[in-house]
Amino acid sequence: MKDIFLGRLVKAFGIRGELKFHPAEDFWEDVLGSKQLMLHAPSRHTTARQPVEFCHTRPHGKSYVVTIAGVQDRDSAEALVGSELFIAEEQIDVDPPHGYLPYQLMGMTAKSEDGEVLGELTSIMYSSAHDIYEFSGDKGKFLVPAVPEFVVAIDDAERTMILRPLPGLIED
Amino acid sequence: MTRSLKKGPFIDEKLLNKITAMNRSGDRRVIKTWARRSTISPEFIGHTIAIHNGNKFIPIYINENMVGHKLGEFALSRTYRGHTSRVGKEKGKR
Repeated sequence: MKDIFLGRLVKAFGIRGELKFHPAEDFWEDVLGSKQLMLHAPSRHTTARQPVEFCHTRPHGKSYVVTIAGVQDRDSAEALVGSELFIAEEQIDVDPPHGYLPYQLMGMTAKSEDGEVLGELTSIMYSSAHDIYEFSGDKGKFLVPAVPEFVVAIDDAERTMILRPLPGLIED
Repeated sequence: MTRSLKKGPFIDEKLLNKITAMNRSGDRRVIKTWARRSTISPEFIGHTIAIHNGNKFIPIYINENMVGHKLGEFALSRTYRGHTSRVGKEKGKR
């Protein structure tokens, strides 16, 4: 079972038990309505995760302000600060995100249109223009803009990406 | 203070020459540049420019929405790694 890290509760917000939630890269908004969310509190020195349900959520800048069932005052909210929110991939009970989330792409094998293996996706960089995929392979590390002109197709079943690199993109 | 209209936008001459030549020949390849201060002109559209961010070249595919912006805006040169947590600060004091 693969757990998806969705974000972290960073601080108590107000005096009514609300908390501020910072979303991670693999977060999508619909997931806040899920009944399968799990909370892991690092301060409790345990790897166990407890189920959690959000009564109310609202966007607050790039973050969210959330109300957790059973948490009604600031003291209870402060006890949860630093907790991390997860959902098991097999238990997603809400609409899936549009497009791909980073965890779905990581580790994919990049191939050229001729079938030559170019490398493996190791990280994703974010730019105001578009995402940039970083691959690592026999020819070293190289960056590819995540636009349809370069990433021609993505095969979920085989976990491969078909790339159309321009001359100069992959250094020999 | 904004740049004088009389001068027009600043576009790196060497970069513009390379792109004009590629547009003429219909050739497509990635162009490496350090000219982060260069304004993106309409001739750049459809090209991929590897912009230096001080550490490595970041390949950026230019589209029509980027015209008028500077190249450096799309290849960030700083990495935000978050602030020190309150707990970390308190530990440091002890």
